[in-house]
Amino acid sequence: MANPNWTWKVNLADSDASPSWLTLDLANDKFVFGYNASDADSPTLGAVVLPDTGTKWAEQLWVYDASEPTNKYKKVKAYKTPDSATQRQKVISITNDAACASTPWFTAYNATDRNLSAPFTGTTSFAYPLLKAYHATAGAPAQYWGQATDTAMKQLVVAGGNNPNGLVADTNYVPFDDATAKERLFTVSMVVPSDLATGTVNWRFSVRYTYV
Amino acid sequence: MNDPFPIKVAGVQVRPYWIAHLDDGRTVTEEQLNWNDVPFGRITSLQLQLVGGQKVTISKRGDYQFFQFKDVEFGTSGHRYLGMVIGAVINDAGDCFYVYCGANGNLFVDTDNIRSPKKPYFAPIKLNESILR
Repeated sequence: MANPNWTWKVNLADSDASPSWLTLDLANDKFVFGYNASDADSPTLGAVVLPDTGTKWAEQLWVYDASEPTNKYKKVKAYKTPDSATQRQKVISITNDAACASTPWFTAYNATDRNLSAPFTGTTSFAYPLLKAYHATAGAPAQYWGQATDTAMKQLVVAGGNNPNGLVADTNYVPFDDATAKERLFTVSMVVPSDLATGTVNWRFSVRYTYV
Repeated sequence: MNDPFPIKVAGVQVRPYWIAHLDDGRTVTEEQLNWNDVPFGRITSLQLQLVGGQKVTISKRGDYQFFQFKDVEFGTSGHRYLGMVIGAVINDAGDCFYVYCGANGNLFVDTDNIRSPKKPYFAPIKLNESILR
């Protein structure tokens, strides 16, 4: 075994069936949750819209492509709405070219200190992860996925991970199906509670793994 | 494979590495040998060479099977080395003990079971003979 190389991609095409993958430069590119009022490709990106009450899903996912001289924001057009008219799920591809020593997991950390306390600030009723995800092979969670009610959002949290749902650093994560080298697809969504603080919240999507 | 975590930079040790003592009297280290090329069942003791110069040693008893691995995170700011583990599986049920040396130099010793691990970084090695030595 050796330390694997990792490739991250996101589908920019209109469908998942005919993907157009953008390989991410992880040192420079960023995922950005936001919206554009015209719902068309545009470098003009708006913040996510807070619901008046309760929770909702973020409208759109964009990728900030640092290599582009202009129009650095690329809208991720391929998303699904299987359970809720307002939910937006985005598919991320992660590939490792060598086996790991143990099963990796996909999660998200606060961008600065590897914990997720910062995204919770500015909310009063908010005690659940903003980011939800599941592994394509495992499929969507049997309950609550795609439901935007406060109850459903909060019950998506399962302590200790191993159940596809909210991403909370080392506490809640989505495990890979095994430790072999191959491509895996993860579906991610962002929850937007009405009392989310305005401004910018930075996360870092991450894979934690071991090698010999 | 381009390992982003060198053992030494300009001759100065920057992360822990393993040292294996074999039953034929040889000593092999991570600087010399791929872990997969260490002969199975021949390790009499496994050491973790720490950055500060100290060593942690696990000596073989009975049917111990040794393992080592690096704990890494990779995301939108590149690789992040979290720590290194050496340990031994002590029975067929998969019970093990191990030493974890974090990137900050902190050491701790803990027990687990590699078939149903408590710690997520073990999950699940499942008595994978490809890494046990």
